[in-house]
Amino acid sequence: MHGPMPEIPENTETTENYVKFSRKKNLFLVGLALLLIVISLFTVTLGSTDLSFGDIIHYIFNPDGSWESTVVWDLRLKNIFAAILAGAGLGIAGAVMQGILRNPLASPYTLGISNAAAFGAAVAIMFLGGGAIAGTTTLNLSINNPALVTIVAFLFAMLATGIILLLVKMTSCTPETMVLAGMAINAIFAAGLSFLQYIADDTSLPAIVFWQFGALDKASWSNMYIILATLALVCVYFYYKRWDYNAMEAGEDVARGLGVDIGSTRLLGLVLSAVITAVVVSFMGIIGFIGLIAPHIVKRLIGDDFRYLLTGSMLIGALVLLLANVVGSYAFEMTIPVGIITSFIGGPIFIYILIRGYRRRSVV
Amino acid sequence: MSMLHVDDLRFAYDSLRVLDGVSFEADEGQIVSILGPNGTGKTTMLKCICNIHRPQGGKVMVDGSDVLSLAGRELAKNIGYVPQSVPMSRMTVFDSVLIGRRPYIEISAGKEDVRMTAEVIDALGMHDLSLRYLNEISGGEFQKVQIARALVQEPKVLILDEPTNNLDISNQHTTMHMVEDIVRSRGMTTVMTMHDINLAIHYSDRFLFLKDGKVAAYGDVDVITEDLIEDVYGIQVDVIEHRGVPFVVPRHSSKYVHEHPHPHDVHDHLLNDRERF
Repeated sequence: MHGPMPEIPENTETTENYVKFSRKKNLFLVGLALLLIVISLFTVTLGSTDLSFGDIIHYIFNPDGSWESTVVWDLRLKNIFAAILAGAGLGIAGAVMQGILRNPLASPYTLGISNAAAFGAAVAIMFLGGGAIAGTTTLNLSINNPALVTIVAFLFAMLATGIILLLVKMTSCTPETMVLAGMAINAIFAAGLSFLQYIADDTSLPAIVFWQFGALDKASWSNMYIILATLALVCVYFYYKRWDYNAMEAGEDVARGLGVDIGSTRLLGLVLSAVITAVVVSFMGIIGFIGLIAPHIVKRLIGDDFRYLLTGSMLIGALVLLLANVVGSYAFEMTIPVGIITSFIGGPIFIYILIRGYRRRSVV
Repeated sequence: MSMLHVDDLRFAYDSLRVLDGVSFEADEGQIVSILGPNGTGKTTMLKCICNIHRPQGGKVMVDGSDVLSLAGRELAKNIGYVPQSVPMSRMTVFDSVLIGRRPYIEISAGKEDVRMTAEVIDALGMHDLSLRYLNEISGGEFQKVQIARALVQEPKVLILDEPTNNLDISNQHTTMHMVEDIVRSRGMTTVMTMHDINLAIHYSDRFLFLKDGKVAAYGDVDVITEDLIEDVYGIQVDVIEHRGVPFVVPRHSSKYVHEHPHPHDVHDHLLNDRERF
């Protein structure tokens, strides 16, 4: 009744065009990585200590314990690595959360994980003795038991995730339920935090407030190894699952029809996103909007495909955080914590993307 | 031996029984339309065949093997499923179709996956669209992408839930022609749900009427009788012959019928009417 399909040669125009198109997307990611390196190199030259680029290169490869060497490694490079790791971690967590929950508003911040960590930190500062203040001015405020505060903050971040998962289990596992549950958790912890601030005494209050301000220099080198190791492990899993996330972009039924176990993919994706977020927030404080805007910027530029979105979100997250840190460190007379800057610039960027972004075609 | 054998399929949402022992068989390359009123379990039945809903009883055999016991990926190599509605995403047509190769992809998409995707896209005449984003193409083209994604799975059985949903009359026939061409040339057994009996008649070999979760009738076009339609849908119809094919016309619900027009006019009027909506 009908003839067979025409024979189609191995390399059709469609295949060639697709290969070229994929190469363009990969080139775009390489471009972002190069931009990140250039901005990192630029950032390393910024600072009050007068160092030439040659000096900096010298101390990078020959750290000798001198003041200059300490400035290069422990002030400048450390902040750059912190920005890259935290930005990448929050960016990829946001991308995966938005994908598996199929909600553009999902992010570590909007799901309440960040506020839960802040609440945990406040509890540790006020009730567990983590919060006596060393220093007399806001410039050299620090928390005298950072390990305890960090651990309690992490536990509360995971508690928030656990509550979301429990609520979802009790109802039914729809993405809408997860996002709404996250927003409710966010509101509860935000209220709890306000309450603790209200009843806090004169020494605890600044410590609580200080902890919440996301700042890159709070993290030590050993903290960053923990972030790096967590990020690497989480990335292996996310990259392995990228085809499943792509299938879920086409809807749950399509993904199920393709053999994706939606329940476990969503559960594990959410837990691991929460873990990387909790690690970053516990060491550095609340850095809002990176997890929300980084994936949106990438989607706007090169589409929803997770094969590119994961890498793109990490690179854009790192870039935005690095730039925010430059602005916070050098644009004003005093150093402004990067968390404040990301929220300031993140809001308008997000509104811009909403209004203009999706009307235009992608660059690639 | 039949390619698809569904035997005594049972499914209930909590205490609400939806499928009550549904059985049917279809041969290689046959197109089966599932018909019945809204809420009678048509979509549930398709989802049970694909194991998206785990049936509480019964068997689904594809080419002699019980597919419900297979792991997700293996099942996906046997059965391709196109749901009724699919969310929009910012993916290119090519990437969106390539996702259908997921059951075959271990780490990353290989040359064979890309070649197969390009072949299906070319065969469906979408080569000009392949690098366009889904939100930049028309509804009919979007539907083609969904079907293309199921085709690159290379399934033995293709399941389509309302493939002509939301399409205008021209796109309904274009899409169904395309489906018919492809499944016949590849010998794919196809099961689809349909609301429009007359459209189903044009493109199907077998008809399964579902009523209250049970098979009311199954067979070739001869099963479509006035009594059956009244029993299943609860309305009176005339089944008239139009150009050698049965044509179902509501008896009391159309203003045209009161004027007792010629069957050809009825056909044209109804087509125009459908086109308007």
